[in-house]
Amino acid sequence: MRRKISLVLAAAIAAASLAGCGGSKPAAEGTQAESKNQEAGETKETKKAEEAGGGQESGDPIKVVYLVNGNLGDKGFYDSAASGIKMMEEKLGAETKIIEMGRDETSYEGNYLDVSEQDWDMIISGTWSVKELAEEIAAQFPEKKYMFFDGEVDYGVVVDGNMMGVNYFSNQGAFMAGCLAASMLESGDEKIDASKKVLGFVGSMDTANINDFLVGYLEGIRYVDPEIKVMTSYVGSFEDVSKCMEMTTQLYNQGAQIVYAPASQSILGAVTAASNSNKYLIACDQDIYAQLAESDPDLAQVVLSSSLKNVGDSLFTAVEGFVNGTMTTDQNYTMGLDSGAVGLAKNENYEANVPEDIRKEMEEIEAKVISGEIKVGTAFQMSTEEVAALRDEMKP
Amino acid sequence: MNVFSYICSVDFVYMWIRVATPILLAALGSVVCNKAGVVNLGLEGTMLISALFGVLGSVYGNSLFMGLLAGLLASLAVSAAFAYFHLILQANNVLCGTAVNTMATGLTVFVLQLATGEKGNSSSLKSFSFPNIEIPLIKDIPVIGEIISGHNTLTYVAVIMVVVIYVLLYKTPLGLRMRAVGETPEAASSVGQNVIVIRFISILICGVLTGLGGMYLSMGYLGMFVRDMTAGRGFIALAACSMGQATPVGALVSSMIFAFFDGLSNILQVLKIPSEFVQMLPYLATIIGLTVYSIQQSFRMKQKMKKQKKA
Repeated sequence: MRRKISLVLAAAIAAASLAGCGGSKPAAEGTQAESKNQEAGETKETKKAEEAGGGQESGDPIKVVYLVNGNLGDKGFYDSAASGIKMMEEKLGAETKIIEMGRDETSYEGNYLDVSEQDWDMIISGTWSVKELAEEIAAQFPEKKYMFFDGEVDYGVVVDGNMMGVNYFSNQGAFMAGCLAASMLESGDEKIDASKKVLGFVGSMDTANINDFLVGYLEGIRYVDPEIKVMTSYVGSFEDVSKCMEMTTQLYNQGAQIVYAPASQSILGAVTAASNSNKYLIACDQDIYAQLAESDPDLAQVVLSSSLKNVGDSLFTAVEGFVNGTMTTDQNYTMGLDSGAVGLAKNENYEANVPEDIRKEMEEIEAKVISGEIKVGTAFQMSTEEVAALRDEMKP
Repeated sequence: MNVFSYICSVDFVYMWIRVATPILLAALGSVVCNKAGVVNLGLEGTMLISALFGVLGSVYGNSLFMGLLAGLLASLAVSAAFAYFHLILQANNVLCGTAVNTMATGLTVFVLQLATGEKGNSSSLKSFSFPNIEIPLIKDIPVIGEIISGHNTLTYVAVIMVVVIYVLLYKTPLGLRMRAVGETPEAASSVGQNVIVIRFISILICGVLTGLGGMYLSMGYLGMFVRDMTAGRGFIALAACSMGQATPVGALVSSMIFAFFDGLSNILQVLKIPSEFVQMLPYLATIIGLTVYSIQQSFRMKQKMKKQKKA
């Protein structure tokens, strides 16, 4: 008896709930359909507006989106790129958006597809880790325009020529860092023991883009004095600040007088190590002295200079060129010392600590690199073995 | 330069101790948890959160003590949340630990941005650090003085904690209860022990130790917080704890072994040894350590079996 009652109850409940569903469904569908219509209407309207604006190009602000394959706040590469995007907003009146994709590479493709399906005039991304993905996406959406920086676009993949390549002679900046470090050995500065002809290098990873710095740095040192030895270390991570600090400390302990540190986000570890050991450091990508000068002057003053990579300026130049029609999306542009995209940071700390004759010498070397009198080698055109051989040759 | 002469140098031994400190502190925390029968996978996240809040506390409280307090409160809060979900809501501890770690990565960046407007590091804030301590008398002994004296406060705290945790686990009623709860919770609860309360306490103690480890990174090692600065040390601490058979002295020894290879990898690259090989060393050491341990265990088992047969 009890069972029967429960069965009946269950059936009743099921029926009631089904009925409930049935009742609400059409209503829900109705609202959905309505909103869809609305959306469609909206997009149509905006499209019309665009078409109308298309006639007078200058009136329509360019829409730029930047996909960061990491996170902002690295005080280096990505932040510099983001500052370029800001500049487009301020000077070109561009409508901009920055999407931080984080370090989860599996999410990248979705982000690329999303922005490619949206209404952007220029989709910017950079660095070797997204090169292939960006190229594939550009090939999939030939009607969209892309920009790829810090690497060369392979037009075998991007056959429609809808992706501009912006590359840097980072090796030229590193070359200047090498010249500066080597020249400083003889400067008689109290932080430098001239009797030891040893310099150091700490990089984040043993990869081509970091080794491009290494090759330039080593060549710069050789250019000044072929006798100098260089110790190299790789942190093996982009983030491990403590490890970077330990490694840099070891370089100083082993006699390195100045260390050059293309160490990405972990660079502050290298700065701390230099400060603890009371030695000089040459930083990379951004002007670390300028960033630390206010909050931590003790730390900042060990940063002799930085080999800048003005990613932001170059992106701005490229987008401006694209808007004006002077730069096109079917070409690779490489920017070096001549355009100011790379070079040493000549801030007040540099002027205070580097003697005038060395500063003059740096200007002369810079002029020679720009004129092509000095050709700086690049790791991108060297095999792994060749880079390793060069590195080992310079070790003490 | 010779590797062996380098390993024997004062510089290396000094660095060795410095590298071992955060691993040791977190490993000791893990020991307490393991003894009570909880595997706390959230060490990494707890370290990261206390590293950040320690720095922020010292900035806004304008003293080192406030930093310490904030860091410890943060790690206690995270540990309490972990304990609540795992013990009271009966959620899987692996999931809870992973949740803590995932949350820590995002939360620290979010809070950092709120506080500084930057997402990378706290270098724009003037924070306090734990001072280095010169031990009187000992510092004047050549070699030994140079190695033992002059370390960070937290390094000495870590060493003292080895003794404290040993006493706690083996010489106090609470320690006895923890071990009982860890070995057979049913038996412990049958004699009137509240398993959940005791495990909750162990997780909180673990939080304090791990928090100290995290603060060592941002307030001892470096003078600032940098995102993701723990870089896997929480997981290495977990490994050190299990390699040390979840005993305080074992954790000390295995933390020192890990730190040795970590320290070695800092210097070997300067010699002509490929960086890939060098970066593999700490992990290789783990595998070898675990293998040696299990060979030893099975050897002991065999001997026991033989004895039993003879009897």
